[in-house]
Amino acid sequence: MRDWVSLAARLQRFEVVTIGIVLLVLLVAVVILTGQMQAMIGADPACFGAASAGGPQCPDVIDAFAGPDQIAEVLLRLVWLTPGIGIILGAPIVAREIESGTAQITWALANSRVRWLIGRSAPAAVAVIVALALLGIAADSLTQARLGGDPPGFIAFDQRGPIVVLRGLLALVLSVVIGMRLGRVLPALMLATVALVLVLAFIGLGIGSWRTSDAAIRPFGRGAVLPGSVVLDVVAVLADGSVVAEDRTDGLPEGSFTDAVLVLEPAQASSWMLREALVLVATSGAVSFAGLWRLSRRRPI
Amino acid sequence: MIVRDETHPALRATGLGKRYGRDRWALRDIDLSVPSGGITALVGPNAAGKSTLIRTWMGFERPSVGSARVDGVDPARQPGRLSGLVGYVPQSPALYPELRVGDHLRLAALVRPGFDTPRALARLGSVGIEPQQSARALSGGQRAQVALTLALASGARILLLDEPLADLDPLARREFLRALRQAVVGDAMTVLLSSHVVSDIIEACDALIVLGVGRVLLASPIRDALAGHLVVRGDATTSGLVASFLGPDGEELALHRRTTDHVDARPATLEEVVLGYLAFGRQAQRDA
Repeated sequence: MRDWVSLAARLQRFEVVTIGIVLLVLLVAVVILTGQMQAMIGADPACFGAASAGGPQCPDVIDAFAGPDQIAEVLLRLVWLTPGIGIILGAPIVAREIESGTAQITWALANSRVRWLIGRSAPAAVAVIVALALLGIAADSLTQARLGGDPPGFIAFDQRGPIVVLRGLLALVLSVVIGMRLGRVLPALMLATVALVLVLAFIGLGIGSWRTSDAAIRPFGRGAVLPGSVVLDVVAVLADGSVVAEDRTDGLPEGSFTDAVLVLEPAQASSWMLREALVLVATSGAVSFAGLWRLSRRRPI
Repeated sequence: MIVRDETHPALRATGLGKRYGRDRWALRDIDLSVPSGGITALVGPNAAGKSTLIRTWMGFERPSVGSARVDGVDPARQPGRLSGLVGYVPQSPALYPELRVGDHLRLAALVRPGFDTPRALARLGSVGIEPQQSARALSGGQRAQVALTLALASGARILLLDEPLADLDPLARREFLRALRQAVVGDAMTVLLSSHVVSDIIEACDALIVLGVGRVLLASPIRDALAGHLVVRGDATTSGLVASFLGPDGEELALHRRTTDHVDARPATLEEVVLGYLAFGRQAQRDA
């Protein structure tokens, strides 16, 4: 493995250095900001959190907190771009070999192309896992700091924790396979980006429907939804207990239904993180399988 | 000494055809056997199908019709069994510019268990290439030598070399062929060496395959090819004619099979045999 890592680092030096610098800057920014926000919370704990007691100084403290909080939001949005790491590392792995002609010699030498690809991709996969795990943990801490120590539940759900890592791995796998199919680095980078957006959107739609089936019905109104919950839809509960979409209550007499919301509670967040993680793993597995099947049939030119 | 086993073909093609798109045939009706042992020259003009044929035996192309076999193995369907058998040197072999020569050997050892690194190092040393040299700084000839070294040290019994001499200067060509000859004698290897320049390779080869417009025009041991053909100046009318072609001074020459009884006939050189069959192929294509 050490040999593969050393070879992969040299073959993709430019990508590794560029990604390393960008990630380091992002990581340091997140860590510094988390520390700064935690210090502000520590100085005036009564002003933060759902169960805060409040106090006369709190409006000024909350105002001061708003600046770092906005920066934190921007940084967390940047986490959405981190699958790009998987694409930048993954797309050239096979595409460059084919484009430059080295695949002809390497594949002729290799006893098994599959083993070659696993050896060649493993360092990139490890790099993606380690880098994005650190970022996922840092983003998790930053989210908790923004909430004054309250459990984040579904807040910034897709921008922290293991999902960040698994989305990066899916990007890596997808871009390796697209690079193998196209045999050109630049088109592979572009197509992999488009394909990843589409795949994630498709997964998002599927997960959205799945979540609805797991949602609880809470009466519409102030205090009905706990912080960290996610509201999936506004519905109406009819007198017989059936639930209908809100737009189907037009024409129904007042009082024959009550407004309600479909909600996933914060306590369900970890279960949904696991389910989304499993979907990403399964998708990555399916793409990998298709890629490995395709590899044995791919011409090296 | 090189022993050629005519009964046990190292490479075989049966009714082989390769089509790109709807109707562009790169190879057609190829029936061919390359016996084990020795160096066979695969000669033909550009776009004759030499690279396609070699890549089909490498498993890099799938036949559109017919079959290809390498020591009995179907390269398209049994790539796992093929990999231990065959070594390959492509035309203008590409190395990794980011790596040193020694790194290529490390990579080869990673993907090919049993790769003979000491042998590769010794061979590179013998041609004046250091493991510390950057692949980016190597000349075309040195890159070809590294590629040949990788193929030789891979333990393959069959080497398929696709115009490896194309980028080499005359001295480098000679060194390359000498190294190849030594390997064939020492390791009882079978080598198929393609080129479109006959004079480059003919002195190193034992057998000759002439490929033209996707078809085999001649497949024969070199001694038989020489013994079986005569050249007649100008006269293209007698029996046994293969084809007419232009000689080095622009004179018209006619290649005949040895059945001719022409009084002015003289033994053909190998280059004349090849030129005659290439002219025959071109004529046949025109007639078709």
